[in-house]
Amino acid sequence: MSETKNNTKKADQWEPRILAFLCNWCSYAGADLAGVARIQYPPNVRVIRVPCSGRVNPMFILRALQQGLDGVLVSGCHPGDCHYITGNYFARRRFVLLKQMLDYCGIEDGRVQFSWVSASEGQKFADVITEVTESVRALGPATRMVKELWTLPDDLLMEFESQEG
Amino acid sequence: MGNDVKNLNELAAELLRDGKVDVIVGYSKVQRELASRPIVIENADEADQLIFDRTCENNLVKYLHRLKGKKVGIVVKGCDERSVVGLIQELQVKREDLVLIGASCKGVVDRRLIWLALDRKPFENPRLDGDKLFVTLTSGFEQEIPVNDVIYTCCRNCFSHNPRFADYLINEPVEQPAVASISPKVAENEAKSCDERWDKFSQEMDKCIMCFACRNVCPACYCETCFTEATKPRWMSKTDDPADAMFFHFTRLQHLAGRCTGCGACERACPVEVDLRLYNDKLRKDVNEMFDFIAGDDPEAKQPLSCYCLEDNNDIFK
Repeated sequence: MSETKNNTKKADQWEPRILAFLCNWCSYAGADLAGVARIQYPPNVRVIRVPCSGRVNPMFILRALQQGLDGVLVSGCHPGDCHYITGNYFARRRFVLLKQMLDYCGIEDGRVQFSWVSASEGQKFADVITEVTESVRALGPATRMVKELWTLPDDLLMEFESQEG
Repeated sequence: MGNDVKNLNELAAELLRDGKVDVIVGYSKVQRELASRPIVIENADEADQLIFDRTCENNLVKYLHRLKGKKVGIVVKGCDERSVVGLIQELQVKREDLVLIGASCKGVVDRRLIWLALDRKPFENPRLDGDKLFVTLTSGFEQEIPVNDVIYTCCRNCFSHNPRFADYLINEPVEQPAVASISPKVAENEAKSCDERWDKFSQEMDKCIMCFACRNVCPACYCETCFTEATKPRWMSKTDDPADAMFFHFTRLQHLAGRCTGCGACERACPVEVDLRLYNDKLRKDVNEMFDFIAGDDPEAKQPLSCYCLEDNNDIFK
């Protein structure tokens, strides 16, 4: 419930909430390196570690949008560097199609973003997060495809509360 | 297996009698005018029920999933045959188990369009005669409508009037006009602004009642447990919130990437007339442009999402 309420907060209080799917072998290690090297980047990103960018089902991304996340980032190894040799090549084809379709249907361009960050690119990781955060901040809170959670109408709620005494 | 034209009923009876097939899937007449229904026959003496005319709209390939392990004779139009090719690519059916009875088709009749063409006036005794349709209005006047004015929109962009791999043909091949296989509405929608595209999409998704008819008729949808019904994990909820319909349609499109042949079965099945073609065609266009692949063209080709290329489009990645 608090998730949707965040969206109605005033613009000046609002901070973008971004979900990042990071591949275990490159981008997650890149994030680690950024941390170890004490590189500053915005704290708006929530990380989910996945074995490979190929593990990211497009439904994960859609579900995140539906649940009211303001942005989604998927990051994996550079093409050719995949720990599983070809995982990110397959992922690349899927994501290109998904991204085109989201665009075509009118989901804003910056909501869903993709990047390749290797384990040695701590600075690039920080740069990508900064860039994604700023572009999502410019778009404002997510409204498209966000599911409205059902809440009790105020009068009913008051009635229930008064019964509880 | 010649290319000479055969009579459908005689051919079906012969195939069943000779044991070349166990069942035949085709169309039969129904009471209602300008309509037909799918029929599965097992005995040669039922073969006279089979028909083929411009009301045979169903994509019968969907029935192949339920007839696995049998030798099946199936009546296919050019578009349906592309679905068969897709299933052969996916190892869902074996070509040697199938006898394709090919029918050339210049488009099937959309009853709703007849009604609109007549300004919603009631009519009776519709009669198809070549490329003309005659209907009798209540005044007794017999009105003539060109059939091409009342065929389904998917048939207007049809680029496969004639089956290519059929074992038998039941009518003469027709002339294939040069048409763009992608609906012109796709380019129109692409040219609009992001907000306008979103408005259109929300408008369409608002209509969706999540009956899943589009999935049920799609020959490419055959998962034993569809993501819409899966409970571990439960991928999606089914409420009246348009966000759920959007989730369903985005995922449906993603699953059909490189597999949708544009037969239009989903569009015909939709009870609320969601413009599914607008989105399916965009998908087919993207797949064609980026991976140089057309679904249903070549039974030997590899599907675009089950292979990759080092030089694939890398633009969206930072």
